[in-house]
Amino acid sequence: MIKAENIQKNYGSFHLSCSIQVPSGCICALVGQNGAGKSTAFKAILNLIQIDGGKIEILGKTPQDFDRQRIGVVLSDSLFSGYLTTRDFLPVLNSLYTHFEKEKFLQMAEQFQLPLNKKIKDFSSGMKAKLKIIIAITHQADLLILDEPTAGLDVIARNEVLDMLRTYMSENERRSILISSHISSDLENLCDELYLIENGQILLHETCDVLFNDYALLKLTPAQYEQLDKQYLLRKRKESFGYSVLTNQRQFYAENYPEIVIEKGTIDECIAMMAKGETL
Amino acid sequence: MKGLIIKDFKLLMMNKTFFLIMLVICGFISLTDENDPTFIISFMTFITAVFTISTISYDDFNNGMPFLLTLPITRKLYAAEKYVFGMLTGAAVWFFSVLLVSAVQLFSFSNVQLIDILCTAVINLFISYLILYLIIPIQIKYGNERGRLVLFLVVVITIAMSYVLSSLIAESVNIRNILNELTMTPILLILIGLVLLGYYISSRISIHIMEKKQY
Repeated sequence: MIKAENIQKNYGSFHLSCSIQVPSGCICALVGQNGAGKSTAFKAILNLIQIDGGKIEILGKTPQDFDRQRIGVVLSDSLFSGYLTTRDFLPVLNSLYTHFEKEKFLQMAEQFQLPLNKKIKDFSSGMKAKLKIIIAITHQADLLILDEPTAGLDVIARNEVLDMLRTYMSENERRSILISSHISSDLENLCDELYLIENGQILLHETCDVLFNDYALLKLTPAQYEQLDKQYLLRKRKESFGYSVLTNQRQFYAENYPEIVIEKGTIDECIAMMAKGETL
Repeated sequence: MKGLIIKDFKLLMMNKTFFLIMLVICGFISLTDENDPTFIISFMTFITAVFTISTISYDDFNNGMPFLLTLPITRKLYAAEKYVFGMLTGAAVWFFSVLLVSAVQLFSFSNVQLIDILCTAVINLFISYLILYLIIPIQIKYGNERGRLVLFLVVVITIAMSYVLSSLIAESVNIRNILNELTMTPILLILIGLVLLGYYISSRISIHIMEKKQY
C-alpha cells in the first residue's frame, strides 16, 4: 500500500531520513516524540511537501498521481475551513467521493453527537477529532493515513474511535492503516507493526508480536549488570538501583538469569529507551 | 470541480446578509442616481470578485489547505476552480445587476439607452475579470495577511503606470485621435483579447504556485 524508501527532507537543522512500508491488510504505527518527524513523513507520503530525495510509492503510484478516492486521511492540525458546518461540507464530500456513504456519515455523526449546523471552528478538539475520523472512513477507502487521530479525545472517545478503526479493518481484509499517535496504549492493542522514529530516523521497526513477546526491560543491580551476557542488549539507562536495560531476547535472559527482574516490553518503555538510552 | 464549487458557494453564502444589504443599497442608488446608472453594475461585480477571492483565505483558515489537498482533487484543479468560481459568480451578479439597472431605467422612462448600459456593463465585467486574474495568484502565493500588502503594492504600481500611460496619451495627439475614433466593437475586442490573455497568464502562474507550494 505504501512503500517509502529512504525519503529525505531537510528543514534547517532537522533532517528526515527514513523508510516505511505498509503492506496490504496491515496496521502500521509510527511512534515518536513531538518533533521526531512523524508529521513530516506523513506530509511527504501525501505530497504536501516536496522531498529532497528517496522514493515514495502509494497505492502503486507516486504521491503526485495516486488515486485519492482510495485513501482516507486525518491530519493532526488540519480540517475543512472552520467557517463551514458539517451540513455545509456533506454535499462537498458527496460530490468529491464516488463511494461516499452519506447515511453512514450521518449515523456516525449522530452517534458521536456532532452537531450538523455548528461551525467547525466552534467544535471542541474532541469533536473535531471524531469528525476527522468519520470523514476518513465513510468513502470506502482502501488505506487510512491517520496522523494523531486520537489527540484531544478522552479515554471513552478514544476507545470508540479505535473500535471504529477495528470495524473498518474487519470490513475488508486488504485494507491498511498507517497511524501515528503519542498515546502508546492506543497502538498496543491495534497495530501489527511499529516504527519508532526519533530525530527523523527510524530507530526501531518490529512487528507488535515480537515487540510484546521478545522485548523486555531488565532491572539490574550494578553487580548483576557486570555479570550479564550483553550480546542481546539494545540500550541501557542508569538508575538509582543500578541499570535498566532493553533487550529483544527476553526468553534468553529469563532462562539464563532467573534472579533478575524482567518487565515486559511496552511501547512507552521502548520509545524512552531507544530514544534516550545509552547504546551499548 | 463540482465539490469545490459547492464548498466555495457555501463559504460565499456566509456573507449573504452583506450581499443583501448591498443589493438594497444598490437598488436605492439606482433609483435615485440618474447620472450614472452603470455604477451599480461595476460596484456589485467588483465586490463579488473580492468576495470570491476571500474563499482562498477561508480555505486557509486554521491551516485548512493541507486537508483540502488530501481530498480527491489535484493542486491544478484547486487553482483552476478559483477562476471558474470567480468568473461564474461574477457573471451571475453582473447579470442580476444589469437586469436591475435596466428595469429601473425602463420603468423610470430614462433617456439612457439600454444598449449603452449593456456596453458599459460588458466592459465592467471584463475589467472585474482582469482584477480577478491579478488577485488570485497573489492570494494563493502570499495568503491573506501578506497578500493584502502585496496587493496594495500591485494596486499602487498599477495606478502609477496608468497615470504615466494616460499622461503619455494626453500628450500624444496621434494616440488621442486613434482612441477618439475607436467605436465600441474594437474596444470590446481588445478587452476580450486582454481577458483571454490575462486568464491564460494568470492561471498558469497560479497553477505553478500551487504545484510548488509546500504545506
